[in-house]
Amino acid sequence: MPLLAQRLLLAAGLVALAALLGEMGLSVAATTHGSQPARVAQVDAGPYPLRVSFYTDPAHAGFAEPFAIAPVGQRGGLTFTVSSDPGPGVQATPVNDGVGDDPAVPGGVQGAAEVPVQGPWDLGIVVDGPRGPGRVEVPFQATAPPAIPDWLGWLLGFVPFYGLIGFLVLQRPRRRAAMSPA
Amino acid sequence: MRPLILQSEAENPTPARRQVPTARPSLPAMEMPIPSLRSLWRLRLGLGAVVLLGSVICFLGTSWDIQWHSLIGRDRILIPPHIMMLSGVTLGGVAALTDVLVETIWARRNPLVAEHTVPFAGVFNASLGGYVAGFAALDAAVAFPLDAYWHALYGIDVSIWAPFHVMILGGMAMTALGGAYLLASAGGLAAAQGAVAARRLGYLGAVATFAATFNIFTFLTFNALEPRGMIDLGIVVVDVFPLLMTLLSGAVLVLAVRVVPWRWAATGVAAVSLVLVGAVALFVPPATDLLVQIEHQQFQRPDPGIAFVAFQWPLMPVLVAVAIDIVRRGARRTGIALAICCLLACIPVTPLRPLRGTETLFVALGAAGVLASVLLGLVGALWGAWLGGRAGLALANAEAAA
Repeated sequence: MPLLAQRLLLAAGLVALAALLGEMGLSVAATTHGSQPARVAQVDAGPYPLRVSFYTDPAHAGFAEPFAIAPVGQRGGLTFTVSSDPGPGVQATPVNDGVGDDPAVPGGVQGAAEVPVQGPWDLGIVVDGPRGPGRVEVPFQATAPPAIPDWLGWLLGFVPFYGLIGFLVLQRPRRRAAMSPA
Repeated sequence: MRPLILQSEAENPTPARRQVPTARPSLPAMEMPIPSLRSLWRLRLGLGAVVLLGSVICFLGTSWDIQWHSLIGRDRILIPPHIMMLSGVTLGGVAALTDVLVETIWARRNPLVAEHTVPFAGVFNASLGGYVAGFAALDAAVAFPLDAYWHALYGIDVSIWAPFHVMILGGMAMTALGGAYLLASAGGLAAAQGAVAARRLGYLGAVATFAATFNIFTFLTFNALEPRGMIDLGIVVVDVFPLLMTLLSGAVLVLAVRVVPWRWAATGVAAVSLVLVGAVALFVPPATDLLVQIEHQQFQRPDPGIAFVAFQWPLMPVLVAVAIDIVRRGARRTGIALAICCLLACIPVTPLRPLRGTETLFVALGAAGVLASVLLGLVGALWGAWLGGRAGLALANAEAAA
């Protein structure tokens, strides 16, 4: 393989590696809660009034949507089960989201909702407490980055095969040179 | 690498090729300081084994992922099957990177080691397998976020034939291919040093890694018997299953027999492939049941209690492998004959309902369509055998030129 081609391949690899590390950083950052919520919804889950905070609005599909749930007028004694439920027309599966105690709010919880597809979603909250169970769906919207066309996706998807074929083709001249009389 | 040159020469004796090593300043074999080369093949053997482990994890993880998506759907991005696949890719990538860095540093201090490496970009010196596995693992890793982006745009599609599924599977399979090169390279070096046990270990590892390569690529044939795999040409409808299976069988099995100097190399690859499929049959159903409980999920369709991948697995490549090994014995020019052996892979025979795929093809395509598909399979077989032979020679040539 010519030296220039090798260096281009190396540069492409380094760019891909940098992009991968950057994306990993963004994914981790997306799960962290900001200092201020982007949107706050006041809802009632049966007998329990709740304040639901979303830290990104709209959510970024493919990344986590950090949220916090704070009971209003009740300090503890409640348990929460949270899920991300796809809205009408969204081709996706409901996702169970883990929650943990919110250190800033007594009795409150926080977590990161998984939103794999763009479109309308609901944060499904099931609360259980001394006044029985309650449930509420809090709608939110998820958007995706600009779309790439189908053909471009397929063009990119076959990258490893271009690499394989290129590898084989570029080896051929070396073989001929090796076979020619010294 | 000398042992691989000798192997290629045995098949294609060309006096000019024997002159290649003498054109470079190298020590005669008897004067080689054995310890440094022994360390080199040990390094490649160890790191090749790590790539093999990563590839097996990728294969099991992907099989589990297919089961999960079929029965539950695609929910979170980092579900355990995805984590398993990413772990396998990471293992392979880190092993490849370690190989490239260690050999590069080593080659700068030891001319003999440098002589047994392939230079790259004027910066690195390592085994060809290290480069192949490294780039392929990077490709697979990059494809994961791209796949998440694709799903974010277009929704959850559980089909294997999606752009970045192809990219992930291609990357994982080629990582395994790089591992096979690493192990074969270690086996060849050990053979030159007279280390019989290490030679066997290297080639056995290469056979196992070729099996992992074959199995991961086989996922790409799974949609071929569905309507998406059928192409209406106007006068006849053809199916791409024969093309894909013969291409894959030809490429991997012929490559294996070019690289591994064993009489039953292709059969060995097919046998290990089936062992890995057996591992899927044992691992996937209980792992899926356990994960459903842990994740508090519900089956979207009745749980059949079997691994879909294992029971859809195409079996004819086993016969292809045996035929390839038999045809190779005593034959000098075997290219076309090997391709014809690969035609057996056209027939979709699976463990659960062995002839269902064949019936599907006949019902959907008719006799003319089946005939046209088999002709397509012949094209795939010839192409695959050419690719396999070329990939084997490329390995020998690249390391010979080192």
